[in-house]
Amino acid sequence: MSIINLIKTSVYSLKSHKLRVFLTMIGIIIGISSVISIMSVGNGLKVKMNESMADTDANKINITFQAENLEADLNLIEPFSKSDPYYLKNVEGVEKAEASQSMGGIDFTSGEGSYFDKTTFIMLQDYDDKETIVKYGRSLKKDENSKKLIMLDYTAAETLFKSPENAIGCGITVNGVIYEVVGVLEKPGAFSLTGGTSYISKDSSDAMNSETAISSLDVYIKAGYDKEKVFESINKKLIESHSNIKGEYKLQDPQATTKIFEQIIGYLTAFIALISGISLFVGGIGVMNIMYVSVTERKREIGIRRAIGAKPKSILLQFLIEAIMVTGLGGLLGILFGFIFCKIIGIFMPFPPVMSLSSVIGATAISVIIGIVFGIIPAINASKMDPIKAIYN
Amino acid sequence: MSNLIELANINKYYKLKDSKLHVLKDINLIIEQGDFVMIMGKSGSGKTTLLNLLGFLDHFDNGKYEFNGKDVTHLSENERSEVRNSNLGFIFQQFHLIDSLSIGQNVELPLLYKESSDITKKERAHRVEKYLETVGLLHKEKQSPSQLSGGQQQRIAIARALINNPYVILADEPTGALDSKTREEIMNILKKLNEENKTIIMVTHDNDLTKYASKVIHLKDGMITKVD
Repeated sequence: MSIINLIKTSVYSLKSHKLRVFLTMIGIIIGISSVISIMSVGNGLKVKMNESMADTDANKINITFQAENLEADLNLIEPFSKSDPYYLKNVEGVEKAEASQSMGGIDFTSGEGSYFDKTTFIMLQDYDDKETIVKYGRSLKKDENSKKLIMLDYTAAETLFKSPENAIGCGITVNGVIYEVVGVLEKPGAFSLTGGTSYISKDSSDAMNSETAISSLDVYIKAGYDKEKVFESINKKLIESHSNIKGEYKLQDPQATTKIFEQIIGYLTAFIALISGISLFVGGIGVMNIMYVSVTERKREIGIRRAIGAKPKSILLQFLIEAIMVTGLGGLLGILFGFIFCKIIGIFMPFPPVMSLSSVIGATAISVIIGIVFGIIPAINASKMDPIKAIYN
Repeated sequence: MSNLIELANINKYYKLKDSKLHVLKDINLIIEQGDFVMIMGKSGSGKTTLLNLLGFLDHFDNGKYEFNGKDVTHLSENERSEVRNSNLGFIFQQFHLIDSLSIGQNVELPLLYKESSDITKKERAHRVEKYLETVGLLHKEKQSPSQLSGGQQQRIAIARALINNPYVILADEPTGALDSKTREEIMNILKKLNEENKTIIMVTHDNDLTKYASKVIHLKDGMITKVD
């Protein structure tokens, strides 16, 4: 029997059991739609993350030093000298190099602030007219660049002065230099990335940085050069000029962080999708069960078909195609429901789920495979049935 | 007339729990092209088993079966399916139409299982019409089997048996589930087919029907006791 006629035959017999077929399909629909929505949420998260990371400079790499003795103070080892940025400019492929105090792309300096007997850890950033909400006191003014003034973050002010408003006008010591507190910032929101940062003027922070040793270098790579290769030549140069220290220079690509995050999200998504895929397995067993029922019920029909000349292979294909159609149609409906779920989820989430073509194709393929895997045994049973026993029961 | 079917020393056993039931004992039988054969006997005499065996549905344990001059004793399952499809037509007591298909589709079915299926859709539709007309039910093509009476269903089954233009029609008590009036109708159709040189082999226990037969085989306890 030709494939087209086999498909037609399956359609006719499925049509005569619409409710049963639909109930069997539900398992597959739930499985596929939940896998689709979870994958789409994961995809959406990745896309969102890529967007927010896109503003980090793609050509910038960060070189840090890891001492052999992990507890060694980098300030004493001095893995980078002030002249390093100047020399590294001559390395092929390097656009420019500069000392950085950054971690993960955000520039900040840390210090220890103290007021009489109380001390606290303070994160410091240059104040360049950033949008800050001052709770007490005032912001730094432009003409105050050379003065040692500080806008203290709320938590630090609370630790040092108990009631933050008392801090205004007082002098605190940060890394050995006295700053006058001109303002106290609003308490940051729960999820603020820059929360808990105090601000000082650009000059003050440069002065502070020049006193501390360089802990890492930012190197901008010229377009068309391989980051890894340029890093190798930089590494050679650095080891030459700092031959007396023990440890190794390490490359930190800010995009590598993004990639790792992406990977983690990918693994997590896959894991959750796998768990919801269990419902697919249950659905598959439902299909197998109903196929067994169908084969038993239609024993007589199988016998008649064999008597008028159907080969065992035709019978096998007929039942297999039926199973595939149940799961395939379930899969398509599942994709449709998954799409609707994604739209609904998108309303409540800060980022929209992204349904990829590959997940649609994958879901279709999986549902067809489920049909084959769980339909094959009942179909083989049907094809091996003795025509006499099938007709006369 | 040529020998269409030749059975030589056919034996068949059914395996029971701890014994063997000897259902057919040394069957020797010749059926010629154009015969109207009736197999008679009480229930349990092995007449249906013999018919199924002739129809390539059942297997036998020893002996030799020649069909149309060829030894068909050791055919594979696929070859047997092909013989059934192109050379034989079956009619059953309970009609055995497929309920999920329409009348037309039921009649068409053997054509779909034909191996070299270069029969076009148009040709199939034409043949379905032709044989529905033969049994006088052309206008029922789109209906479902459950909408028809028993006699009508049996006529559809005859049309289905005829559609591949087979040598032999095998009928297992085709009138067993019908009243006497429709029984006559069905028998007249079969008789007409026989006159058109179709070989008909029919199982029955109705003595009245032997008037249609050219050859009557009496079976008792798996043995042929008499051939008229």
